[in-house]
Amino acid sequence: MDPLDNVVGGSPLCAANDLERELLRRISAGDRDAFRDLYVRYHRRLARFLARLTRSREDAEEIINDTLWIVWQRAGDFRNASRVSTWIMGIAYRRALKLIRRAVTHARAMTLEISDAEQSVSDAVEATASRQLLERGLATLPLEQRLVLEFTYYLDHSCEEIAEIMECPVNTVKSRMFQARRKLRMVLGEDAACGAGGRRER
Amino acid sequence: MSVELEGVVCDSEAARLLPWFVTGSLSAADGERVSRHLEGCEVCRGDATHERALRAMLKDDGPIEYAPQAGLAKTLARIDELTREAPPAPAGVAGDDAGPPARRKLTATRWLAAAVIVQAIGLGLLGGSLLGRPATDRARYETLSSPVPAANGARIRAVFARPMTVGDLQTLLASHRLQIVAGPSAAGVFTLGAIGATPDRDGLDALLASVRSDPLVLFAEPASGETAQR
Ligand SMILES: [Zn+2]
Repeated sequence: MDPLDNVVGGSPLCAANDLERELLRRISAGDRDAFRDLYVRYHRRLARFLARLTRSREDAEEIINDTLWIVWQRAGDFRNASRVSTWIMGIAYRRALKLIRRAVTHARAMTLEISDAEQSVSDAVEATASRQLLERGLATLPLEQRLVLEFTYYLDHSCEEIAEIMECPVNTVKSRMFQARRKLRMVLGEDAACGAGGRRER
Repeated sequence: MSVELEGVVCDSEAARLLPWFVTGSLSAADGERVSRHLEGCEVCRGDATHERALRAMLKDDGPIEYAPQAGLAKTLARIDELTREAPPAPAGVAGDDAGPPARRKLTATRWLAAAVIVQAIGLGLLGGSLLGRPATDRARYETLSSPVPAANGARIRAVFARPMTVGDLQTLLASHRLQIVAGPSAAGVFTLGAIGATPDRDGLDALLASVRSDPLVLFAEPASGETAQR
């Protein structure tokens, strides 16, 4: 399963959306099996990036649980105009903002230190050094820019979908992304070591 | 000289669209536009390579597993609580910013037993052994087990939401008046049979509903596989 193969608009994502729409329909009728399926799907998608964002597995779990809890209650409100993932991500985004803006978590998310927990779980990875560098780079970005980056590259949302999720103009999304890329490049500089040998020489 | 190149920024609209070109989520027209721009812009070609590498790094999840079971159990317990309180749920209980109050169309009877089981033992199980809990909880648990319809001979295949101690498992089985017939399989599937009275179709359905509503059960289906294929 190569994530790079997931081209938006291609059949895998369309099929996924059809399936999730059906799950939502069943959930709106109180079907707990459907809820379990949806929960597991979204847990997989959200856990890593929320943990990265909040630097706390507990916080990530809390956001996921709150999000899916709201999905359980609001499944009947879903409008077919959006992709299901856009709708759910919008809910997750608002939950995450709320939690992250609590002062303590905010301080933790913005700090350049890699927490002990984070350190120990990533010890095994060969790419640890470059990953940690990336994490440090990400940590210097304003929250909104960082989220646009994650929504684009980790969750494969289109520019328009991100605008919907973050409830802002499409142009704002483009600008945030542009600034995020510039700043990341500046921070990471020569040591970016972005795996595939793609970084430009100075 | 290369330092100068680093400072070069292409500020065309195509450059702003580059990340979504890389992920393939642009409209056909915009995709075409960026494609054409790339042919003539060295800066953006370099950026595109860089962005692909950045994306690959963000996509690389590494070896860490984030298991959903605990959170799922917690959320299901919360749902049970909501359902027990009173459908429709009070406005604002979800804490989200907008939208009408939640409305559920669940039949109270279907979930009532499950909700009380959760209250009596579900949370206790998550934290420790039932045996250590106050007698009142045990008493409640005992009365609960009686109305569960027995379906002797019927088989249920189930996967539990997390590893459990033998004591926890026994408690869970007792609460649904079930016993282990076989398993766990390599995939962690238990085959369960009902203790006690005669089976019928409704009894099996009710038993299944009760088992499925248990936050400690990830899924359950009739062993015959005739319904609820998951
Ligand atoms: Zn250019």
